[in-house]
Amino acid sequence: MSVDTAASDGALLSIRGVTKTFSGLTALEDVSFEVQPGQIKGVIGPNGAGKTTLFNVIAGSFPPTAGEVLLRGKVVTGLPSHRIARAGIARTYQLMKPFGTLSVRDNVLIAALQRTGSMKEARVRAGDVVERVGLASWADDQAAGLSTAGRKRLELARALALEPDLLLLDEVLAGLVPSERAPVMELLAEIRRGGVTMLFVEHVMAAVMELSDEIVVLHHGQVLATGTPDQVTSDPAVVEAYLGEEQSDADA
Amino acid sequence: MTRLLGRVDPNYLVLAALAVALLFVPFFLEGAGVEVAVRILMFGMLATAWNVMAGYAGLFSFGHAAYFGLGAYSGAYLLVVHGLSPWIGMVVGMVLGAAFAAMTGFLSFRYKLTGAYFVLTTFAFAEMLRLIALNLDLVNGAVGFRVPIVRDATIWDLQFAPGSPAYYYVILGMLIVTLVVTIALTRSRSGYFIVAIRDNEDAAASLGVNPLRYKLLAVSVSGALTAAGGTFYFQFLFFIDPPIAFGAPISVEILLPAIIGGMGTLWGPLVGAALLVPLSELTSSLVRSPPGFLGFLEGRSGVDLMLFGALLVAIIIFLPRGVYGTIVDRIGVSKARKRGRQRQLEGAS
Repeated sequence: MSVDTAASDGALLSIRGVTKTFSGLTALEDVSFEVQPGQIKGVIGPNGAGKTTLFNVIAGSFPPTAGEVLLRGKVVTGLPSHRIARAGIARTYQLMKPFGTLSVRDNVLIAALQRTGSMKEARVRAGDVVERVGLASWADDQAAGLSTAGRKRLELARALALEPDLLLLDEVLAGLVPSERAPVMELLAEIRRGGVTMLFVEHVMAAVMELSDEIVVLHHGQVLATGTPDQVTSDPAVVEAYLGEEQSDADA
Repeated sequence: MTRLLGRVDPNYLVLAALAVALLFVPFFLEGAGVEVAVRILMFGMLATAWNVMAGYAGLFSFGHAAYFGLGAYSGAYLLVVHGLSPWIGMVVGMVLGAAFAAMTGFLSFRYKLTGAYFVLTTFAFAEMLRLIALNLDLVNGAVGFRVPIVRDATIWDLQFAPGSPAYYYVILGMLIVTLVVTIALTRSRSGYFIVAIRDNEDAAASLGVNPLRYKLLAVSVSGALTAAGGTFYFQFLFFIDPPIAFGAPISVEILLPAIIGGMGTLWGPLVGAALLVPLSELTSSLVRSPPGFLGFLEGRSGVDLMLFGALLVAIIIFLPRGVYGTIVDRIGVSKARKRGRQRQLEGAS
């Protein structure tokens, strides 16, 4: 399915002219941008801007209506999600999807098993990741019993255990109280130091500004602006479309 | 020694102990008792096979008669028409059962039939086979098959004197194999994937698990094991026809022990069979010769089924996770509470 194209720019992820319509409703319109290896890119935009749709297209939950997604220059558009995951893209879900009856460690084991054939080795790796995200004391508990904060960490742990080249984070901070955010922010900074490329959707502006190398602003399914956090926040169009109404939320 | 034991799944040890204990059961039972014991093990085995698909993979089947009947008819046809050993029929039946499960499963998964629609599909496929068998002269249509009596039958003929404990030992062996397959599967990488898909298919897929592949594995294993039980059933009861082999009643008899005992647990289906089969014997003997004050029940059919229904309703209300499943849950909860207290203590220090 994968086709080599002349991608000389070395981007890890290229989104090229992606459009997605749902029976007449345009969720994404001609969206294009690139993510360079090691880069942290934030995607922001008001509710309904198409952020989660974009993630679903990249992760293969459904194909785009038009346009293509390339990973390391290879077209991955239309591949089923399990193949995109194995190709190196891991995602977290905004609405957490734990394997409720499995233990926390076994949730992570499912991902670790993609990278090693040995059950024993996968268990060790899963245990390491569980410890890394701070869930070690809950490792043997059923995932269904975790709190919201715990489930967010579990989403992150599973994605990390897949050892992805690109991590798609869909609002990992949403729903957390400020005291719960700090350790997750530290964790994200640590993951970043480990060289994992990240594309993340986030409503918590302080986090976006702190973590992102670059920001893509989506508005009504279109790219409104791209640039560094400073460039984006000083763009009048962005301020009007998004930050003007959202800034007060972030301060609260 | 302890290091060796530490690596073995404790379930294997329980199974070994149980198997040894069950070896002696025929010595304490008379003819009819052995027959009841055979039925317990047989339905325990069938429900354990059903549980692989419905319990672990979350693919609720109301049509296991399809795989059961394929096993029963493979054995019957090859024995009666071609004179082949039921063991050969059993292997052929298992292949057919697995293939039919995979084929019908593929269609359901391909067209994303889930929940009630999936359940109805499994029922429809079993009905389809019943109607085919009913109208197919090759398998004697409505007449069905009878086991030809073999003089000096050996184990190869899978035929013994009525009430012989040999049937008991054969089905005990089949039950053990079914449980070993279940334990091995649930401990394997495939087994973890199957449960993950049951819990959340989208999440499993986005972690690199191919849902179609592992769902097909679960239905095929379940179909093959159920078919083996079907072949044994024919040899044990000496008779099969389309309604018995492919009808809804056998589908219900297969799934009921697993639900009563506890879906998605290893021992639940067998526990359920150990409760249900004697209960069914009791109710039917009650109907045959009721005590004076219940004289009006004499000869009425269906009373046992009414009792089954009432019991099922009671179980669903009071023990939604089944008899064994509820026990397992309670133990899990108390262990989790203990870990919770431990965390509090650590947090406090």
